[in-house]
Amino acid sequence: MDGQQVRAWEAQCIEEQPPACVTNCPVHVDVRQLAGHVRRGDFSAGLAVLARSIPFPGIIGRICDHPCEGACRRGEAGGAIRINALERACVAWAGQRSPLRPQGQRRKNKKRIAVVGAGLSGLTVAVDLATKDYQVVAFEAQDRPFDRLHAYDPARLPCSVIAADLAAVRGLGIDLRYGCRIGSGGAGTSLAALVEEFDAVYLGVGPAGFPAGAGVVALDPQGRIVVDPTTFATGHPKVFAGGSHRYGGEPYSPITSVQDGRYAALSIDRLCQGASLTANREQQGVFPSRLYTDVRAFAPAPAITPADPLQGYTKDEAIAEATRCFPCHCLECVKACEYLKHYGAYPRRYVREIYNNDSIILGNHKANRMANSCSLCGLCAALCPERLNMGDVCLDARQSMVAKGHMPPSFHDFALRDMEFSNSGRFFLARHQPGAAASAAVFFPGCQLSASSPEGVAHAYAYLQEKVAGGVGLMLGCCGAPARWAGRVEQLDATMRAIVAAWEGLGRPGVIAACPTCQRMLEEKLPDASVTSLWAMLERVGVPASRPLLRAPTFAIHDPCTAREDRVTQDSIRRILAKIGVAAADLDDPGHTTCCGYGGLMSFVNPEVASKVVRRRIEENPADYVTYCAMCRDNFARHGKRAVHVLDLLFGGGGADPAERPDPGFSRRQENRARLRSTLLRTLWREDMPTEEPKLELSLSPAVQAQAEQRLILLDDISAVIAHAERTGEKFIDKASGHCLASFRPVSVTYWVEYARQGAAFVVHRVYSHRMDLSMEPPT
Amino acid sequence: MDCVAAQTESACESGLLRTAEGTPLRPGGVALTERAMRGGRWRPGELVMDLGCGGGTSLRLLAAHGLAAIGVDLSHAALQQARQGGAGWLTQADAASLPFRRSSMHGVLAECSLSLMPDKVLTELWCVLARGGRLVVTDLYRRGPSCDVAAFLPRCLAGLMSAGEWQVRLASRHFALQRWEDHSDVLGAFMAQFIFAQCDSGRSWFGDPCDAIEASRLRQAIRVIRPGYMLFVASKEGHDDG
Amino acid sequence: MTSEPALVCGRCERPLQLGKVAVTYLGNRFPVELLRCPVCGMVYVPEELALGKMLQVEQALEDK
Repeated sequence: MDGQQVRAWEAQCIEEQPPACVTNCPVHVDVRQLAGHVRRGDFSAGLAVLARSIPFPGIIGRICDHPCEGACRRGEAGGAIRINALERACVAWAGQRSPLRPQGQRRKNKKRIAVVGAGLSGLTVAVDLATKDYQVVAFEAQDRPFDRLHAYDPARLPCSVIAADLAAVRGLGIDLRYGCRIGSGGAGTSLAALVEEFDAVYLGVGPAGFPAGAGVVALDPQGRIVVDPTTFATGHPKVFAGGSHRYGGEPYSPITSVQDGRYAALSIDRLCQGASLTANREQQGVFPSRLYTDVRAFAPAPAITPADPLQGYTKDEAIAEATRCFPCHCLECVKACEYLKHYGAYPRRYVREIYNNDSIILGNHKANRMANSCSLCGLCAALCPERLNMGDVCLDARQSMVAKGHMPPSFHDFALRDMEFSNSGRFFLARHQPGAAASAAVFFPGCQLSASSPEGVAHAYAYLQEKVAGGVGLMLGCCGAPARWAGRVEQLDATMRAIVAAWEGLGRPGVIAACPTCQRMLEEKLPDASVTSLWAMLERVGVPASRPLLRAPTFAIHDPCTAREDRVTQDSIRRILAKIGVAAADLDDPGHTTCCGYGGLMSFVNPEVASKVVRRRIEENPADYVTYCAMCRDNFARHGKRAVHVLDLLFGGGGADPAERPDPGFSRRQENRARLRSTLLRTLWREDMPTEEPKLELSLSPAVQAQAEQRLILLDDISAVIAHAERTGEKFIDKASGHCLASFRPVSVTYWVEYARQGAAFVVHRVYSHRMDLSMEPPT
Repeated sequence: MDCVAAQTESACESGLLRTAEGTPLRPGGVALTERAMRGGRWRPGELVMDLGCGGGTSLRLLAAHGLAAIGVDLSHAALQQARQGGAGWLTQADAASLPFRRSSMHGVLAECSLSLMPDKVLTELWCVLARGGRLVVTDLYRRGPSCDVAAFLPRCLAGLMSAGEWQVRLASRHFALQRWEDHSDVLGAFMAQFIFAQCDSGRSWFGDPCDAIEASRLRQAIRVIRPGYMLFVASKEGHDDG
Repeated sequence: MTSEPALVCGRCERPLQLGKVAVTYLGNRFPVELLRCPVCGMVYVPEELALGKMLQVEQALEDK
């Protein structure tokens, strides 16, 4: 797998993107996490989250201008979360707050920083840098820090709150000097002197002009310092500025002052370390959130108002408000797909796990199976705001596993052998219409429909011969989808070469495909062919009168996953149903249909997940389902859901109540295909097959049938074992029961059968198999 | 998990686990032992020590080629079995403190034993070998990177060295590396036979069935370190003092 | 120990005995002791073994 492609896929999954509250906070407080803590009643943890990003949580908790609330998605469902009120509640109810300490206690930073103005921005600079062990001296013209904040109504911002915030930072050793005005002669120092004495200077001097900066920094015509909005640099390389002086201060934005201080401190730190001032600052400050959240899923709920607005939220009120936070997540695909849900995470993590497993850096064994358990149906891409398709990732991984020889043979062996059967002489066929020497069109019913409804296929072909001019040939075979899904590129190419050769041999006719999967494959691999669905063709030549049904319910339409984007076929089906008088309604948006469990060979690799997938689909609607893929129909039937194929309604097969038709099972599928071929050859082309070996008559109880089905053992395999044993005498006899026990290895699996003769038939008691090969040489 | 690991180790080390042929279960079997012996280039009559001789199969092979073979093992049970099998000289001893004079051995054969022994054993072997004497070793080694999930590995896999580390270590102990061969293809067969030889059908190679998380971590760690099997031949260089 | 059925070889009518059998899978070849006819060598694989240890070995070798 290609690392760059993998990174691109990872970037498409936005689940890890920060939500709107975080990206719209100028300093990116993790509001979602804070709300999560408050919801659980853990105010200390909530305060810790706040304090990670805010040096003065008590003050900000009271007076923040909260741009986050304007972006909160709950605003579209009852009212934005009262985020600032929650923050105030964290400060109030958290109990003891641990004071800040410098982080790198071992090594004393030798750099000295001057901060002019002990306001919010200046003291944020001071705290940030002192935490990193810088020696900070703050020069304040007034006789106390946060002078402007004392102008707030004390009911809103009590002095005690300010004092508590200041007390928490006392341990950082910031040298606060009051009554020091920079630039006035006499007792004050000049800016130039500061620049000389210190390694960097920050100017948080408030909204008025700063004439004292003349000659050192660039001033605009109003005497305000010209400040770079990203780096907070001024005309002088060692001088930085920000806060209300930069953004104007009317209205005063406490959080913007904190932001300016935060990022100016970052610039100063980089300056002192000789690093780039401009690198990696794209997500500094407010930026739009890439996280998608479907707000419609949440019932509107209004904000909690505190019983006493002056006191703020009580604990219970805060918890109730925090409970209104959704919280914002995407997970659109995980909500809809049982496979993605099964592994407990989301695509970005899955992509990484699958890639690690592929490059054997550190892989979990389960990623082998995980990459092979996806149905490749594309539902995730249809729902994902960024259109990430996990099927693309998984198919790439499978192809890589095959190329490196790491694909466990047991995953796909059975399905691939079934495909080989379909392309063997027992099923494969490519003929012109009987009596014709040319084909304007060729009917390609596909291997699964032939296996499930052979009579339906025969009737459909008869109808097409009658109605389509220019000759309709017949091509029986497998389109190669199992090889594609198994990641076996070479095997797929070989299969397609045979199909292309047969198609060209027939004179390159138009292709009429009954199965949407075949249609997709043939459209891709026969680009010069005109490929139509059987349904579109039937509309063109005239839909046959339908057979009367025993019951005429309203069906629910299940669109096969490979028809997800085929509006033409989807509409054809609906018109045909209407035409024949069958009432049917959509299950949901056809573009959001789910797989039945067969896609991607999911049911072979991971029966547990496949079962979840099909059960979820079945339980969506109590009505009988109608669909136009044989595997979908049979999978539903196998799980107890009444389901019909459109072909059943038009051409018969399945008797009077086609919805009761059971899943034929693997053995009968192959038998049906072979019989369809030999029957058509005999009846249409008047060719008799050479007499095959007389079939053994087998008798299996339902329990043994289920055992064979679950262990992927076909009746043909069982017959082969018994025939071999009876012919050669190579079998064991159980003296107690009189049963025979024998084995036979056709290709890569050894089958064991316990059986007993009963008249002309053989009763099969037990079947099992293994893959390793034993030499049966006589001992020396 | 620890029980199985311990069982694995003692089973391997003592040579008591047997194949279907009745020979002790050892990667590469008799074929690899014979190849190892050819690498030793010992002449009939020469004194060769089988370090970790277990049940004595290789001892008998050495003797069959006319060598004066002496078996050393820490396990009393193993030595008893070797004696019953008709092996000649046997000594119960700790490999780190061998009861032999300096430079008294013409060769040392160490099959699937050295990787489990502490470093000083290599120094001890150097002392005991005569100048030009050959040390022939077949053992596990590490083909992948070392990883910090060694905690999940059984002891026999946790401390494996890479080819490069072996070469450095031999050179620093004044051994000249004559040959290094990878024989990792024998590990598949070895592991398969190990699984079949377990008498408790409920247990798997990877631990107790209920301990699925440990088992999964063990497989993950094994996939990272990629254990392999090697054969090397090294000769003693440098002068000896006695 | 599971109770084995009382099996005899269908051709030779002899009870089975343990013997060495060469087994191969995915390029790995090793001997295993299995029940076989002492005359013609036909090997018997019980169901518990096929679905138990054999499957474990197959999966372990596929894992590599």
